[in-house]
Amino acid sequence: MHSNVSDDELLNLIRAGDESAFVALYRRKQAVIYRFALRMSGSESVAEDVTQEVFLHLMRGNGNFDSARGSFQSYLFGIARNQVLRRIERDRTFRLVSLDNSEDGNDAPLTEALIVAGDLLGDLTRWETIESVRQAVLALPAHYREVVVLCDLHEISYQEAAEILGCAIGTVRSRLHRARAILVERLQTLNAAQTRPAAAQILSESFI
Amino acid sequence: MNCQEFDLIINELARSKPMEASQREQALAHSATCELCAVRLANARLLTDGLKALAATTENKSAPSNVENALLAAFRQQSASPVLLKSSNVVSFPIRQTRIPMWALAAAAVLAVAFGIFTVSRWNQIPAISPTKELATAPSPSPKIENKQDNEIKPALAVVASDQKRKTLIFKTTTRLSDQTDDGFSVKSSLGEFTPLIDSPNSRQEIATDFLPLTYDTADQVMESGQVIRVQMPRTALASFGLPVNLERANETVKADLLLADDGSARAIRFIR
Repeated sequence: MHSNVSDDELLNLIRAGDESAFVALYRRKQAVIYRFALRMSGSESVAEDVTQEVFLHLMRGNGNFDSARGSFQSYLFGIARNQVLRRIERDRTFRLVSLDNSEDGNDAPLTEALIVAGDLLGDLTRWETIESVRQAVLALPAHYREVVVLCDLHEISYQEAAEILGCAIGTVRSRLHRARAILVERLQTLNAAQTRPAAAQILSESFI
Repeated sequence: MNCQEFDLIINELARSKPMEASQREQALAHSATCELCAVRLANARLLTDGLKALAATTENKSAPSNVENALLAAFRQQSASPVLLKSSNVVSFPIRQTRIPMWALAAAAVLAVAFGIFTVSRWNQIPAISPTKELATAPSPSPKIENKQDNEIKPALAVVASDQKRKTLIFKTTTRLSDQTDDGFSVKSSLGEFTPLIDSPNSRQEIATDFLPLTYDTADQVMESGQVIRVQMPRTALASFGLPVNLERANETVKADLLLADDGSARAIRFIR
């Protein structure tokens, strides 16, 4: 019914009390907001709450959307981001994995770590790789995590990410650069920690 | 291209983002000759692959249907009562803040100004309390009264609560704690010597020591206002201030007035008998 109607027009219809317009807009945008919240928090319940809060915010008409300041999707992402950060700050229920302390206490500087491992993630199975990446992303500080989630997982442009985060494009670029460097470092650490027991198991099995 | 320039575009290169063809060629040429940058590019590409794989695992995720149902219920409820959105049995919503009309704010401002003017005018109408007049009613005035008058320590306002157990005395005077006697009405006396209180009809039978500073660092601080609160303390506390303690009544309590600053900190104490 509203498939050809733009987001702005749907928003106007919602303000006029059109329930079908609200349903149409919700179904059009809910998945991307839910995924953003899920990837930021790692929690499905938080993602549900955030999605609900975003559309409640929209329903109530709090904070008027201004198309001159950015796209409607950026506007929704901005609300979702604030909600997620608030939840992270309030609940701190997410199991953040600290990868800073390796077992052997190897505190090699980042650049050195980047040089050593040429086969990063190479020994991991696909699922282990995904799980490792997920844990590493969730362990990032929020301001680094959000640029990775937006630019790498959602493949949003620097320009749109800057609109969502309310910062300069250069800031997005530099944060992403730093975040990815941290991720490489942490994945190397995690990879080393995971391959060690696996190698030990293989060795033990060979002696049986 | 050197390693620093390569580092600036490594992520765009690894993420296969659009970039100038010449820049891409230069970067790839550099990584072919620089082992360090080749490793870094390989790691960045592996990371990109890992992030894409992670994104793919959640690509089909969406909010469950109960979220949509709850939002629809809320939408209907809001449509039914657009002014005030109340809580529903599906989701809980904070009550929308009602806007205060401008005329109400203006009226409140006028009332506040009028009250302020009235308070100031009342303040000025309070007659200055003469220490001489008050001291004339004291049972046994001390010769040091004259010294007190000479120093012209005059409280601007003294309010004494009728409750004997908890007496609050608010004084508005700029005086040093070390120069102050008890409340400006009693006679200055030497340390530990009880003097009659005359600021309240209820306290005519009471005698008190001077206020004794509780801490040295606050003794010289200027107090513009504060409170005096009546408390009861173990009689042995008198010894802490160098006052004599009757051992036969050591188990009893003694009344004391605590002088509190505006920040709630205790500045001085006097003992009542």
